[in-house]
Amino acid sequence: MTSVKMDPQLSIKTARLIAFFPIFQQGFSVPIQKKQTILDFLCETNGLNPKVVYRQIQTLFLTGKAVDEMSGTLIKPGDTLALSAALPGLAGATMRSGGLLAGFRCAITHREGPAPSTLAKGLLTVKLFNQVIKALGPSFLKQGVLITVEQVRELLRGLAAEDWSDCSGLEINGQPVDPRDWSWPDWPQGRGVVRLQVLFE
Amino acid sequence: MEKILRIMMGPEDKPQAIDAPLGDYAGSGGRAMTSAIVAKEVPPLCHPLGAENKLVIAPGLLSGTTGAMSGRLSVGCKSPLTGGIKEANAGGQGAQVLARLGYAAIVLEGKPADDTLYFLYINKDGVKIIPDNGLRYLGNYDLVDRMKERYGDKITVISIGPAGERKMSAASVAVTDMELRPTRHAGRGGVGAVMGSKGVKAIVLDDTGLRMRPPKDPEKFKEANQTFVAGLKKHPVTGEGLPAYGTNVLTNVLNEAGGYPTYNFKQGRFDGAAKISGEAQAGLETKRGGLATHGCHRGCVIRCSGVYHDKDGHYLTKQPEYETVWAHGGNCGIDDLDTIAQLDFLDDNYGVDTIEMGATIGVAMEAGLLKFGDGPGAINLVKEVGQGTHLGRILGNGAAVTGKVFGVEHVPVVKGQAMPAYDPRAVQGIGVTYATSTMGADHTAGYAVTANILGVGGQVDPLKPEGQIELSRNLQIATAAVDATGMCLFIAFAVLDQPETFQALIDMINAFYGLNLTANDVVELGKSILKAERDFNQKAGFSAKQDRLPRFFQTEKLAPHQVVFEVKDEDLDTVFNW
Repeated sequence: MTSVKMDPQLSIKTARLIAFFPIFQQGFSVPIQKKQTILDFLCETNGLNPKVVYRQIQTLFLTGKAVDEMSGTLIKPGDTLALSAALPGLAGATMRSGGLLAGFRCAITHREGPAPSTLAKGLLTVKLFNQVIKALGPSFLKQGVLITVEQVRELLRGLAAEDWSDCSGLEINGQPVDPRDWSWPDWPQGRGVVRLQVLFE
Repeated sequence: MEKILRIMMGPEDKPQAIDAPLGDYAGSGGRAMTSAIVAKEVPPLCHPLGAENKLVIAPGLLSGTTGAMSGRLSVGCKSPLTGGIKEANAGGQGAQVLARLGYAAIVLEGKPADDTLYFLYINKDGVKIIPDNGLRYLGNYDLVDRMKERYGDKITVISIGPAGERKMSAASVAVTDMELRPTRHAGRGGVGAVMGSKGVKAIVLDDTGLRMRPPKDPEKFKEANQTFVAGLKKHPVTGEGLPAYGTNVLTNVLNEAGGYPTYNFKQGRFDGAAKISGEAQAGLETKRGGLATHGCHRGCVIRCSGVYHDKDGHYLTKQPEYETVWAHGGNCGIDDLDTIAQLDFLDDNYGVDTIEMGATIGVAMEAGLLKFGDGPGAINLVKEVGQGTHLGRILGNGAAVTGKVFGVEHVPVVKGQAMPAYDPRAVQGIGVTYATSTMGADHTAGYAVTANILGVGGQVDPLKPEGQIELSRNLQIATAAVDATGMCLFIAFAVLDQPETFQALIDMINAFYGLNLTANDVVELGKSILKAERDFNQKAGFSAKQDRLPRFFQTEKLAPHQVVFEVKDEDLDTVFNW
């Protein structure tokens, strides 16, 4: 992916977390710098206690396959990590990490292969669903995430439609801008990624 | 609940109501009651729309009490859709009020001598059977408004829409919720058609002047209920996820798993899933002044339902459930929540099963009647069902009939009933349940109660298919038992995780009835229900041949994981070996 130099940084009230839901669901990218398990990644990236991680994340997928043990599953560049709380119904119980009904979905269960010998660097796509959005979303956004130009455009369009309510600041490439003065055709068109950072108040 | 109300609709000129003692049915509730009566009193070879079939409407063992979550109403009969035994259940106020009126069941029997349409009015003073052809072909919403004008707003209404009156096999029985809207449905299997064949448009219940059913041991009951409620509230599924996002919280996860049936079960992922997810839906509802958290019956502490407003902030429909959003959404390639909500409203108003309708429209799209993704086209098709046009009558009889009429091979049904929102190639254990359930393809038939107590689970390797047969068997047993209590199945996750919450449920039953049931008794109850249902189906002509998925699930690989259904037929045939 090519990085477009129009990195936005937003300061906004926590109540507006909902504006970022599409980004969390569609996925954002973060760099992975070393060989690490899912549990390592979550605890180190977000400073979470493993007990908290296990309690809040009870359903997870690595590139579409259900994961039963976070501490034994390595992530690698190009993977997609999707995180969810526990879910209702037979399907929810079946998808649950390490759940009693995991055998029901053996065809789509992640199987860990041999560990790679070299350090892995690259990008991991992360998706957050349901309660995990509130639990982990702000932390990821505070550190900055890579998203597509289209995703940023949709986000800012949505905030503009609400007249930037609850938004106390916007910077582009480190320079403060007043989005109400902003001329939308200046925004780059086409493909590419930007680094979005959000500070919740 | 000391009596059964039998309504003899014919062939005598005038229908009659008879209060009958419980007799052999004492101690039964919910699905245990409906299946026991149907298995004993309905000839398995009868025509589902004929005089010999019976429609049994039964609250659960704990309905009408102060016990939480006890509002499920079971509706049973021989199904016109599957040809086998059927129990469909609904939330809403029906179970609570019927139980407080003292009825363990209402049984509609016989067939009227002519096409006069009737409704029943039941209060503490008795039962009236009232002819009223002015109700003919009213949608459920208008029907409820008429009853409100006549009897006030303290009533509860169980009704059918025009689909049920026209005896369509996808017809549902509607039950009003706490706001007196006909939004909760006993949807599956055409139970609405059987009610229509009896000439009954509505059952109006009024429990004014009646109190909650008193337990034998009030103190123990109260204590057990408190423990039960505490368990539900502290669990992340029942205490957080469901209230915040409703059942549609499943969309993103099933999609991520590659098990979200898309374009009539052609693939397992839908690009538009995030737009119609529970997260998106909750955000939209809140923004428009609806509700993302709402209970469908008094006593519900989970509150997984909601209220959906249109873009102008006016009520449109209840929050569509996961199955509805999938059926009319990803299965049909539609990624617009407003379109799906409009379809949900039409389904509720005409009285059709949203799963069957969505699957049927998917088959119609495959047949080329309209393109996948055509939301306005889908709305028009459902309107044809409501109007009873020639095409509407085909569609209103479900996916199997529609597939046959239009020459479609790819029809996702088992025992004639459309599959719900989980592809069995990705989730093979659910496929076992789809294939073997007595109800046809049914996602609620094999649900969970605590593994440790009921022996569910154990040492199953998550990477191997072994053990799925035993799991499905035990889950079907457990679900049948829970269905007898009137409890909402969403208690199951909390009960699965927290043995003390399951024990509290058993303690509630014991304290209410003065019994000493154990978990083993719960297992035996579930087995007895399933045995009665299997026996009925066998006598109705079912064999192992019907306990199968359509062949394409074994031959067509499902993207993105490129998997097929691999459970062997001979293993499916062992599910009911106990």
